[in-house]
Amino acid sequence: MGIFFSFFMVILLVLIAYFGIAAAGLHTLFGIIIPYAAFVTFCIGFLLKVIKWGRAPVPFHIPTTCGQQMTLPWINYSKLDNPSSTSGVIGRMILEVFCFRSLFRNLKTGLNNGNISYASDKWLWLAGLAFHYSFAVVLIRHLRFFLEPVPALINTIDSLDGFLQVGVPHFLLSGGVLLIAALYLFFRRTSNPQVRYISLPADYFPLFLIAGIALSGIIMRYISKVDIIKVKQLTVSLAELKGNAPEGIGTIFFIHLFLICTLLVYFPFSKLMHMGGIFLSPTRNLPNDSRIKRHINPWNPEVKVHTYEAYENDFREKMKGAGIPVEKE
Amino acid sequence: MAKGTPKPEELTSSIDYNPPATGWRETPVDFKEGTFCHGARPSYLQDVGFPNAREWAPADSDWKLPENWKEIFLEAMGERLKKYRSFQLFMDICVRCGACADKCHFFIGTGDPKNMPVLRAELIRSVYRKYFTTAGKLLGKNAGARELTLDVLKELWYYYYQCTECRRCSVFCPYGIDQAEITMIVREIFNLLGLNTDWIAGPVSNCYKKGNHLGLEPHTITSNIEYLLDDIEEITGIRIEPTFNRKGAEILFVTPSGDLFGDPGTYTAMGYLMLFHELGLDYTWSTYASEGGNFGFFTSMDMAKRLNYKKTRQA
Repeated sequence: MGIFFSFFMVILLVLIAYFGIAAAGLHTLFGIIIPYAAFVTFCIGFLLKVIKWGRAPVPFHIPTTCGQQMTLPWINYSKLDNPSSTSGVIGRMILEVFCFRSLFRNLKTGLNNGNISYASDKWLWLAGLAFHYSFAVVLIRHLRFFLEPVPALINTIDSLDGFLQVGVPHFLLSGGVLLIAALYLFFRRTSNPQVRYISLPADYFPLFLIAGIALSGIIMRYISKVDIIKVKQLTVSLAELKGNAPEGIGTIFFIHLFLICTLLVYFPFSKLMHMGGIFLSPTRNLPNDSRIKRHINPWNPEVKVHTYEAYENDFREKMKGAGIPVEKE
Repeated sequence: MAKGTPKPEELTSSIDYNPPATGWRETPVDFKEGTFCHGARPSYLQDVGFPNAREWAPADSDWKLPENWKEIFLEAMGERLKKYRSFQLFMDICVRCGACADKCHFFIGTGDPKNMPVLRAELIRSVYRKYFTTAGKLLGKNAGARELTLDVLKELWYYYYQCTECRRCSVFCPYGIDQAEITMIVREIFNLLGLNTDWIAGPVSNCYKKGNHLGLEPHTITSNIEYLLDDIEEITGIRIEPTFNRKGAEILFVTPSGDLFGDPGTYTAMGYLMLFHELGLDYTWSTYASEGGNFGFFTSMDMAKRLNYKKTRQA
C-alpha cells in the first residue's frame, strides 16, 4: 500500500503550515528559517551524496551496449548506442538526459492466445518528459521572484508559457502540465498491476508532494490570490540574505512554500537523487573501449592461479601420449 | 530435476502476469521443482579454495550455514558498496518506474513478479535500506526496509540464480541500472557462504584445473579434434594438421566454449579449422587455455581474474 500513508503525510504537512501561519502566526519560522534550513540541507545533502558515489571506484568498464561495437574500420558501428569515444558518450548522455532515450525504447510484453507479443509503449516516456520539462519551466519561471530586475529571458519564457492568453492572469501551461503529468504518473502507478506491486511509500510521497506544490501554486495564482508585492519582498529578501518576512501575504503561500521546503529536504535522501545519479551511472557514461585500452582494476588483487607448470605436472604423461609438446620431459 | 519436459503450450498457458494478492514481502519463497539447480558439491569449491564447502540442498530447510552468516553477508555487502560505484548507485537511484519489469526473460517466462529486474533488485535493496541507510534504520517498513532473515536469504538465493546476467534490463532503464552487476555482487556474497550451484561451481573448477568448462584433459581435446579432422577429410579429401601448444606460433587460437565437444559448436569448429587452413594462418591451439568462456563471472570478480590469467599466460 503506502498510498494512504503518503497521502496523509502530505495532508499533514499542509495542516502544519496552515496552523503555523493562520493560528500561530509563525511568519519568521515558515517564511525565513525553514526555507534557509531546507535550502542548506538540500545543497549539502546533494553534495555529500554525489561525493559518496564519486568516491566509490568503477573497477570495470561496464557500458551497456545496445548496438554494434567498434571493431574494424569497414564495419559500421553504432556510435551512440555503443560509443567507443568520449564524444559518443557525450552524445549518448545528452540524448539520455534531455530526451529520455532509454524510456523511448520501452516495449510492452503481453500474452495473446499463448503467444508472447510485444508492442510499442511510449506513454511513460511522454509523461516523464512532460513532467520533467514542465517542472524545469516552472523552476526557471520562479527565478523572477528572486531577481530584481527580472531578466529578459525569464519574461520571454513567461510569455511563451502563457501564449494561450486565456484568463487573467494568463494561464501558464507549465503548471497545468506538471499537475496533469503528476496525476498521470500516479494513475499509471496504481492501474498497472506490476508497477502497483513494486510501489513503495517512497514512490507515492514525492508524487503527492509535487502535485500538492503545483496545486497550491495554481490556486494561489488563479483562485485565492495572495499579495504578490509582499511575496516578492519576502523572496528578494531571502535571496539577499536579509530575511525579512512581511505579514498579510496569505496562508496559501506559506503552504506552497512549506511543501517546497519539504521537497528540498527530502530530495537528497530519496530516489529523487536520480537527478544526480544519471550522470554517474557507469553503464551510460563510459565508452566501450575495453578492447582498445587496457583498464586495470584499482585494487588489482593478487590472485592464486593454476600455472601452466602445475597443469603440465598434472597431465605430462597424457600429453606426451597424445603427442603434445611438453616443457619438461 | 524436472519430471519430463513440458510442451511449449503447457508452459505459456501457465503464465499469468498479474502479481499475487499478497505483497511481495509477505509472499514466502516457494522452491518450485525444476526451477533451481543443485547446491555446489564441496569438492568443486575446495578445488578453487572457496569457504564453507559442504553438502547441502536448496530444497532442504537446513542449509547448514555458518553460525555468523548474517555478519558475513552484511560485512561483505558493506565492503562492496564502497568498492563498486555501480552497486552503491544502483541501490540509491531506482525510481521503480517499471520500464524493466517485462524485459526479463525470466519474468516473461514465469510471470513471477520477483523475476522483474526491479523487484529482484528490491529484494536486496530492502536489506540495503535496513542496514545502510538512516531512513531505513529509523522508519523500517515505511522506508521500504526489511530485516535480513533466513527466509530473505533463501529468497535472494532463489531469485539471484534466476538471472543470466544478460543485461537487457539495463538497456531499457532510464538510468542504466544493470541487474547483472547487482547479481554478480550478490552471488559473490553467496560464495562466501558456500552457496553456489553445482552447475556453476563444476565448470569453474574444470576451467581452473583443466582449462575448459567440460573438464576435457589434454589428450581428450586432441582426440576430439582428430575426429573432426577425420570428418573433414572424408568430405573434402583434405587432411588438416593443426598444432597444439606450439611455441612461436603467430596466433594463439582460443575457441568459444563448447566448440570442442558438443553439436552444433563442433560444426562451427570444423568450419574455422577449414578456414584457417585455407588462409594458411600460423596458429596454434592451447590445451591449457582451451576455451574462451569465463565462468568466473558467475562466481566472483576475483575468480574471473584467476581464470582470465590462463589466456594471457599462454599467449
